[in-house]
Amino acid sequence: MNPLHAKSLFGLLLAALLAGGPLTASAGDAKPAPAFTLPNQQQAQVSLADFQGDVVMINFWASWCAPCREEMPLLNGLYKKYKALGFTLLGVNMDENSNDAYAMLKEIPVSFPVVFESHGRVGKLYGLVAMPSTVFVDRKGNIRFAHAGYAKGDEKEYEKYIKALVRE
Amino acid sequence: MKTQFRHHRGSGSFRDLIRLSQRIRRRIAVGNRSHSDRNIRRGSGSFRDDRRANIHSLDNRDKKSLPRLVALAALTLLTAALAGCAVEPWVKPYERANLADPIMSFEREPVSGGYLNHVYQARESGRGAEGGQGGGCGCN
Repeated sequence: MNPLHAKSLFGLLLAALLAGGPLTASAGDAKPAPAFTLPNQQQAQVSLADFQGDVVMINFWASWCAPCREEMPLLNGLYKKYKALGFTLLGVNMDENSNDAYAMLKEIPVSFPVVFESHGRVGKLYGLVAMPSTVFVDRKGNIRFAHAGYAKGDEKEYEKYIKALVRE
Repeated sequence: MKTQFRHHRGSGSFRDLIRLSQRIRRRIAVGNRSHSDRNIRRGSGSFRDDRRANIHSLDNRDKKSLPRLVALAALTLLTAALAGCAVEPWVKPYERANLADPIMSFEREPVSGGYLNHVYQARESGRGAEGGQGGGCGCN
């Protein structure tokens, strides 16, 4: 085996090992959103399936992530604006210590449901590439759009996606 | 400016520095030459040939063992992966709580740090590796 072949084989192997979850699919592809069940702040179990029939915007956030902090009030605004049209926002907190998240929610209160994942399993399931990450699930339970990160003005893009999915 | 120069000359530190750097440079030059070169130059006759033969065989062995080593590493990885022992060499974006901690940043004040870095960039005619933006949360 010549070294070049060995190297490329090694690369392929590594790529196969690291191949990510649904977020590696390009936006617009319909792929069923991986199911998960997580506790909310009252320790009641909340599933993604509970929102079936609604357009669900899943937002992965953490208290240590500055852009997440920035977009939280904006997300709350979007939730209030569109919830009457069969839309819901589900915040998935990725803090290892959920108490940090509770403290932040006290500081920036939100009205949408928030669940807490302290082991990162759901993050892996969705193949997150950035924090925050936002996934848009249509009424049939398929992932239709995914957005990585947050920069000022991204909320307009969120709104565009929500409008498109709510109309379906 | 003048007084500074005289000071250097007077104390002799500047000349000492040059001498020291020359000595270091000479030492590095010697160190860079491979051991084989030095031995060949020093040795003579059959001893030199023996040495050379030894070195050649060593080189050949090195060339052969590299792909074998890579294959072995790949095999180890594959076995580990198949055994359910996932290789996760990188910190995932949602695992960056500790990296995003303010104590992990190089500068306490990002704004004044930016100005200072600008000064360094102008002086060193190079930039980068000043720490990432965005608190290490993988969002940029």
